[in-house]
Amino acid sequence: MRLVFSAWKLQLRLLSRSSFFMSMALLTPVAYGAIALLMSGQGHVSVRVAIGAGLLGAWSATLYGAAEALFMQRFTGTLEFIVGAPKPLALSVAGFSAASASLGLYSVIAALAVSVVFFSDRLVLVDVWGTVLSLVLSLIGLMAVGMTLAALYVVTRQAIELTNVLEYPVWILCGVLVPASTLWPPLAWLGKTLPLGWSMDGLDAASEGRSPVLPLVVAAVLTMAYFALSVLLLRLVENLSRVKGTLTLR
Amino acid sequence: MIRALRLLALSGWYGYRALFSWNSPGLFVTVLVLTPLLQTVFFVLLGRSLDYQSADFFVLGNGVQVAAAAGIGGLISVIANERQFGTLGHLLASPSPKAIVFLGRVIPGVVLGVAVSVLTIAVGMSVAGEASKLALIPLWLLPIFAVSFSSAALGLALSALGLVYRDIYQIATAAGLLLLVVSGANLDRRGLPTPLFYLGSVLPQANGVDAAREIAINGWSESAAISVLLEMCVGLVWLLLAVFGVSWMARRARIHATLDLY
Repeated sequence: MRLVFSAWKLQLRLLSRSSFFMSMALLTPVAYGAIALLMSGQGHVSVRVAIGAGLLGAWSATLYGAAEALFMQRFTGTLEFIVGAPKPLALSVAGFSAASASLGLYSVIAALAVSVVFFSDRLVLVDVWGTVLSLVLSLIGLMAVGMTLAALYVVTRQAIELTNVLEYPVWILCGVLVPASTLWPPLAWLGKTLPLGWSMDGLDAASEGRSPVLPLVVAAVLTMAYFALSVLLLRLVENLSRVKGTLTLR
Repeated sequence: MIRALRLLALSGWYGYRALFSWNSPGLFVTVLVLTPLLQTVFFVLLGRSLDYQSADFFVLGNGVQVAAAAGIGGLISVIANERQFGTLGHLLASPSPKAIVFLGRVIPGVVLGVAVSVLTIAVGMSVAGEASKLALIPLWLLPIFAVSFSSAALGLALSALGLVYRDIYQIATAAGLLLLVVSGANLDRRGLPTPLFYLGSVLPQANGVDAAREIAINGWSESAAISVLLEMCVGLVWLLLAVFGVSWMARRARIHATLDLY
């Protein structure tokens, strides 16, 4: 736990000092949230729109912060030290992913703050606990997915291309801002392969006054599965990278 | 004159080949082809879910707006990379006129902006909009060119800050997001709060988006021509600001000796 905490603290400090990450984490949800709220006219809108906009930023933070965490270590020349250290690679990566999820929390707070300041008279919150639980599970789910992607990114040098192409599809398929129920069903089910797809269902249910328990349970199970998968993948990648000797290649 | 044109063309060509961040095939396709298309799909779906405007509205708005990626992000990366590779000092110390060199850097942004916009509108109209409107693409070339030019001019103006400040990528992110809100690509500008409406009017894209939508409804008309003209005027003003800004910032960078810092 000490290692996870240290990796989280270090990465969060690094990300918080980067104007690129901070502007992405704070401005993306504010801009998309404002567009969605302005589109919804003068009527009441669920607080789900603001949280959805925040989670847009959280996914971007996961993609750029957690998934690319090890890729960035490759550039700074520290990847070999992390892989070569006697502690499991998964623990360091868990800390890095947790830092990105924390950055995602900044996104949610920024989107909520702007919504409350400019649209407070129109925001409606139906189920407080359901909404909070969905949000927490969304962030933990993103952390698990970030760890899995980080494992994949160690073995590829095309991480930046992957990052660019994964941003919008996950926003769309998981129904982060646009409810997945409006999508073509096979596409909506594709989004359900990620914990975020289910936790957004939970958020939808909470905002409509329905019980969010079932989708949130599935989201929690899927999150555990992604954590397990990431640990396996990171072990595999750790061995593979030692055999191939490509860790210092850029 | 011929020497100036040659310098302009060479500056654009070398700038694109050596400094444009997205000229590897993978990044080119993901950033300049897939991302604009996915952005359009996202807003078409968002509009549909909130029962706001038609698919054509978003396809045209985003189709024109995506010129910003090449114009702003691309241009900013050119200056940022110039500093990273250590060539900015050489460029400023060379006897070539700086205005022409930096204007040359705008050319790839304009060309790519036009290409990206046309592709996005063509695919978007074929899939989500009215395919019969594809015949209007030749008419849309004018507003698209005007928007690509004005976006690239804004990109150059912002990249002037790269002569003094080191971390300018967040400026590209912020500018892109601001344009997404105020350009009218995804929102009817008449419904925007007044400060945002006026901000959109002095920034690139809003007039170009208006012109493209006017052409979609009435074909080429006087009001479309006026909007294109206004977009070009906005672009020219930003270009003047860019040329002035580059010279001023270059002088400041020399005084503070920050040119080679990275």
